[in-house]
Amino acid sequence: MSNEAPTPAEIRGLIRSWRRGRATAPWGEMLYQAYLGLLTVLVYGSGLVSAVVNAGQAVAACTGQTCVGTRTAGPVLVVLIWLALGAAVLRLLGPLMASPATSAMVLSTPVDRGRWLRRQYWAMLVLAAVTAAALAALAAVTAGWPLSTVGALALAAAALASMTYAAGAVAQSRTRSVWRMIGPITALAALAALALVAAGITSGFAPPAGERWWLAPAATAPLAGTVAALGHRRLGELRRRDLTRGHGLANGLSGALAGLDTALAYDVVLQHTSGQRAVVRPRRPRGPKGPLALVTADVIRLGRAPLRVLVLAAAVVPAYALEEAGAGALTVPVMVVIGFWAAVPFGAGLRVLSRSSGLVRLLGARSWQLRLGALVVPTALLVAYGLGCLWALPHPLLAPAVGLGALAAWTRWLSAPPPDYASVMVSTPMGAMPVTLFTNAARGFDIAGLVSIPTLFAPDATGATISLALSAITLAVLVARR
Amino acid sequence: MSLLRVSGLSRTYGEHAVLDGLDLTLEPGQAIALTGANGSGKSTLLRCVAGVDEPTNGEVLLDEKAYDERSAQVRWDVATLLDDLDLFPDLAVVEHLDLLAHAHRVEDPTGTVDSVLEEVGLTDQASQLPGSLSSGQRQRLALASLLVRPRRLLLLDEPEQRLDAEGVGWLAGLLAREKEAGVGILFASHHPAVVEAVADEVVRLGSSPDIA
Repeated sequence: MSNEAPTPAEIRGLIRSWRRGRATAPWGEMLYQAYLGLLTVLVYGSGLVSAVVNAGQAVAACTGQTCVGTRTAGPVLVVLIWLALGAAVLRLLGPLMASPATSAMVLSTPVDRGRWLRRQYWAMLVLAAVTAAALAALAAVTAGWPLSTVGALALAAAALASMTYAAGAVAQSRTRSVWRMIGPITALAALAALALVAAGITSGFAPPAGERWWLAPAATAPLAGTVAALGHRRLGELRRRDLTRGHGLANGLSGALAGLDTALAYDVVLQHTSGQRAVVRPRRPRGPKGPLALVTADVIRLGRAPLRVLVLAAAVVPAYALEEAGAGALTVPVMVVIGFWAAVPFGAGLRVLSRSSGLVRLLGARSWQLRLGALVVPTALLVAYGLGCLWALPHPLLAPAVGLGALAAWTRWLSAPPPDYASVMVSTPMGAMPVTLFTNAARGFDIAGLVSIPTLFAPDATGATISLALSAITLAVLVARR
Repeated sequence: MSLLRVSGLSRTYGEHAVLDGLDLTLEPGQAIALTGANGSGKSTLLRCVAGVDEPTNGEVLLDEKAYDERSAQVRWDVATLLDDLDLFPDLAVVEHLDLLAHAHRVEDPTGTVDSVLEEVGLTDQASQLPGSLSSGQRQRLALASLLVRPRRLLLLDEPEQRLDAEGVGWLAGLLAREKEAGVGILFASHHPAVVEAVADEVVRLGSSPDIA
């Protein structure tokens, strides 16, 4: 027996040789799927190009100082928000992952772990860079930036995205690492940029032009290369436990999303994050009894994660950026959707009561009473959120309409029952699927749209009153249903 | 020189200490059984030793050097059977064992795997995919995965689980032979017969009444 471990390429070749010849799909089926894929790319691609061209033309028509300033800042904002979201997702998933089987059968052996992970690391790094560059280019073209600076922004975005991924990989094996700050830094940068737009500081800016803007990629690229090289060097330091942690989550999420069940995806993330935390300091305050005991539980949850309240508070900033950009009544639907998503972390209580009947039976009250109890704290938070948008809205009554609308959309989304496979099915290329599976994807957004429509037509007291009434009716139906 | 030395190992969850300053030393060819009620820390100790969990305090030494599962040498020397074993759904039983034998550069992988399959009684299931195995057969495959590769230390968490009575007897004989070959064994078990047949020393964890 040689004491030198085989290379990852040898092991991959072995596994590939076993898997070869086990494909069950016939050639005809594969060609048909490839044709469908190509057609989809062409149809959606042409649609996207057309949308970008039209949006660019529409944006160019607006020549006011505020319009031009916001247009200038827009692509940078898009890149920063993308980086912040990407950093959060990467932190949750790993970013490097290994399946439990790979962990047990390959990573437990002397095969060089660093070399095994290299392919995944560089593939994801390139994917992060390409995605960010494409998004930045799209945003900049739509905003009417000159083509020379579009390229500069795209390259800078690619460098920053690959640096964010590499920093995540460097931090993965270390509980305490300065590299873990990449998530908060990108989030704060995005928030700061939003605040600058909201404060009107960008209103005098003109679309960037000239060669000096190429300094941005020139400055970020070497930095990205250095962090990428550091990440590459540290791949061998990753433990098995670091690598398998995110894979279960990714598997659960892909299963939930394959069923278009976004609420189930929330359950998976909640389960994962709670499992990671493992221990909390129990609090046993004397609070109200009966269904209102759920309020105490929500207050305890708030105490354990006060940062979530700060995130919800920070979520009002886009309202002022939109106002600065002259969005007018459009601010309402956007803020309803932002509020709905920013409040998702407060949904653990309502979600668990909604997804199965076991706990409802145990708690011994009527289900509508329990749902009401679980809504008290989120209602207070979202109404406060709506009031936080007050000065950015065309009419004061629209502020509670935003809060209550977000609450109605949030409640609709969280109280989603699982897809009913016994219901009416429709034929799809992927086989028979229940109709409810498709409505699941739109759940929450449908209510956000419904309660916003009156305010789009009448951004005044009348529109706000109708919107408030629609939200109240929606909430009553969702709470009262059996 | 001891094979494995655990010093002052603690693992706490919040204020609850599952393990509190535990010491143990394992020599080559020796077997230590960990016994105790559910939740007494048997699996936690094995997970901390194997690097799957992070101890709050204390150190684990293999050959008097810090145990680090990121080291290829440690992975050569230590074979583990914990609760985290998973299998490729599209690879046959024999292919899993071939993979492990090749990954450890076993000289005659085919011969070794065939003899291990016979030893664990899975020759007839060699071409089956993991999804078609019974729970007992999966456990036998897990045990086979330890035998197709070189090893100086075995870390086993309830290796007898899901085995039938005959299988438990076979397992006890197998572990005794491993000891004779100089392999050190640290294992957790709820089965008195396995503990009695294999262990040179029994470490009782927790304060609850125990089987041993």
